[in-house]
Amino acid sequence: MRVRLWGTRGSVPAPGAGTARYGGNTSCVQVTLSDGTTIVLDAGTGIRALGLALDPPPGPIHILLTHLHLDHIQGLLFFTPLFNPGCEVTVWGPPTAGSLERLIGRYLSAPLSPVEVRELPSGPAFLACPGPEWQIGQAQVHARLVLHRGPTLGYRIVDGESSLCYLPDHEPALAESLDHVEDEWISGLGVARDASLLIHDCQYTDQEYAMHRGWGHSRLSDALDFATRSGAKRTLFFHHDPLHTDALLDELGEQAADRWRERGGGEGAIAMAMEGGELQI
Amino acid sequence: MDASQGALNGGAGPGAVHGIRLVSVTDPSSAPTQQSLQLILARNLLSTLSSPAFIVDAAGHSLGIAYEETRKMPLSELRTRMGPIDADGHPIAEAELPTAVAHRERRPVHTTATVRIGQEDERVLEMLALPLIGPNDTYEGAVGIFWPRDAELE
Ligand SMILES: [Zn+2]
Ligand SMILES: [Zn+2]
Repeated sequence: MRVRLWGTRGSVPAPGAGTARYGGNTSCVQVTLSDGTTIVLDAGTGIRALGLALDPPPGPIHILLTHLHLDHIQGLLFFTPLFNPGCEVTVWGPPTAGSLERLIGRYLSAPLSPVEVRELPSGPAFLACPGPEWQIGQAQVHARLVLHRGPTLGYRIVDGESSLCYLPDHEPALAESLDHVEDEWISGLGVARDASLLIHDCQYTDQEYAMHRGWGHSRLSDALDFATRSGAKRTLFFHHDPLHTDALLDELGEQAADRWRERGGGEGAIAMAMEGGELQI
Repeated sequence: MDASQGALNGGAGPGAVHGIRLVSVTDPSSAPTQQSLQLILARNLLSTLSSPAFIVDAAGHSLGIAYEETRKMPLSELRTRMGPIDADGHPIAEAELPTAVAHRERRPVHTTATVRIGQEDERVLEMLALPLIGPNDTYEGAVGIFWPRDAELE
């Protein structure tokens, strides 16, 4: 399975000279399974450039949305495969009160959008995740509701011996430090355990978190705790706050690596996610 | 950042492909079990309240009172430990405990009962049980909350 990061920013795009290295596009991760199937995790603004790279489309495209906050769907309107009548696109999303298509239609409709969902030339299918696990291509996909604001899924994609866990918006330590909580009571741990790669929310510094508890995101300490408890082989911290410049993210990355080493963690197993990054797991 | 961290990330902007590395690990074939988000949220809430409370999972196991304990305990054991009696002094049947009714009938239940808590004397409690219904009408369990009616202890 090959993983490529097209957008690592949280909340709102943050372009500019100060964020050029870690990138300003919002959440989007491309996963290419070993059988060639394309899975796209979230449709933040990073999906625009991915769409251009997928021309011509390599086959059916599966977009897995964790939730419908704007930073995770904003790029849909600019994803060129959706405008290609020959391209088969399936958009999977969390269980919601209304149909997924109708909810996404609130964004992809007038007056917010010049194009209505029903007019998309590819005629994409919008499907609520059919259950806790199902098959896409050769991968087993697991989805679980996790702690954020509103119905939000965490995903685990298992392809042969490799597994990727994606938890971009997640506040597992909302009420109490994870130190005191048993594994089965930690949100998201079920899909993260022993993953080859964990991509996890780390929106806030420990200092910032005091003002943002309950907003649905993690501070560095809690992200480190979660990574430790998960037993993931590698972790990328993700969903960077729009205020976090490259310099601050470098500093946070060093802090994370130091604290990870102090915990006895493996060298290089923790890093800040960077737009354009790619790895094979 | 050191080189190994760089291998996880693109060192440059979009379009760059850096240090692709093959890592082979064994992976459990399916995700391990975990409590549902509704129960996790309920526990988060209840653990921050001073009211004694407990959670019943979808299978009907009680999961601890005020989280001093979280071992699984059948409702029958809970009843034996607390021995609730109704206003007329008759024991309340296990099947009629608010959480049992909420669990069985998927509806909220409120009642007043006299119970023993730990080594303390009998106390009159208000008891409320709420079923937790998740997306697609899935039953995730129930919460039971107690309010001591201290005025009646005198
Ligand atoms: Zn987000
Ligand atoms: Zn969100």
